[in-house]
Amino acid sequence: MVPLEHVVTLAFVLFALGVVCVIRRRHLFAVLFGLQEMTAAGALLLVAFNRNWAGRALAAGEPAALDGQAFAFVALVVGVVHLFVGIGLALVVVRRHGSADIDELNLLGG
Amino acid sequence: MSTLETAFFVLSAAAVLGALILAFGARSTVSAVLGSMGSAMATAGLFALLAAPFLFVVQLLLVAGASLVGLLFVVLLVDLEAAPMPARTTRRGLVTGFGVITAASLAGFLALVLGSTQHVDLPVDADLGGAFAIGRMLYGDLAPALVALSLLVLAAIVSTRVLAASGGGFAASPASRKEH
Repeated sequence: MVPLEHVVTLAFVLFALGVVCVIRRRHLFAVLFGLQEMTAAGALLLVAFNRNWAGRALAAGEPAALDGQAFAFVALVVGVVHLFVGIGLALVVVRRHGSADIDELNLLGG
Repeated sequence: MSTLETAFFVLSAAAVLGALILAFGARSTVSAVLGSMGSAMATAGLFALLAAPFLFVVQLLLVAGASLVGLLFVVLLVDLEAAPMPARTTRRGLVTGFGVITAASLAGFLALVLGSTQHVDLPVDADLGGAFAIGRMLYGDLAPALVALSLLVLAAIVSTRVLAASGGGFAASPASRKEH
C-alpha cells in the first residue's frame, strides 16, 4: 500500500495549489476551480486517514469503520454544489458587467 | 509498497499536478475546465488506489463526468470570449504572507498528526469502501447528514434555476453593447 505520508503530502500540495489559485488569480472561474481543488484535497486526506484507520481496526479483529469515506462523499457533493452555484453566479456577473475580474466587482460596496 | 502501486501513485500524482497547473495557469476558460477535468479524473485514480471504489465511481461520474462536462458545455455554449482569463494576479504582500503562514501552520499540523499516527497497512483481501458498506453507513448513523445534504442539493438546484431565470442582463452582452 502507498505510505500515508505520501498521500498526505500530495493532499497538502493540492490544497496549497488551490489556496494559491484562490489568492493569486483574479478570474472568477479560476477562483472556483481553486475552491473545487481544495475540496478534493480534503476528501483525499479523509480517504487516506480512513484507510489507515480501517487497517488498524481490521488488524485488531474489529469491523472497519468507513466514516472517513462517508465524510469524503459529503465533501465531494458539497464541492459540486458550490461549483454549480458559483458558476451560475459567475455567469450572471459576466453577463452584467462583461468582466470576470474579481477586483472589478463591487456590487456589495453600495 | 509494490512497484505497480508506486508507479500508479506517481503517475496519478503527476497527472493531478500537471492538470492543475494547466487549469490554474490557463488563459482560456475551456483550457481551465479541461485541466480541472483531468485533475478530477486523476484524483479518482487515487481514490481507487486508496481502497475507496465507491468514491472512485462518484468522483468519475459526479465530479468529472457530470459537473465538469456540464460546465464545459456551459462554457462552450455561452459566449465567454468577452471575459477571457487574464494573466494578471494580485500582488498583495499581506495576502501572500497570510497564505505562507497558513500553509506553514497546516504543514506543521499534518506533520504532528502523522507523527502521532500508527501506520497500519490494509490486508490484501480487505473489502473496504464498497457501495453497500458506504450506503449502509449513510442511511444508518449518518442519515441526518444525508438528509441535510439532500436539502443542500435541492437548495442549490433552486438557486441555480433562479439565477438562470433572473436574466442577469442576459440580453445585454458586452458584444451587443459594443455594437450599439
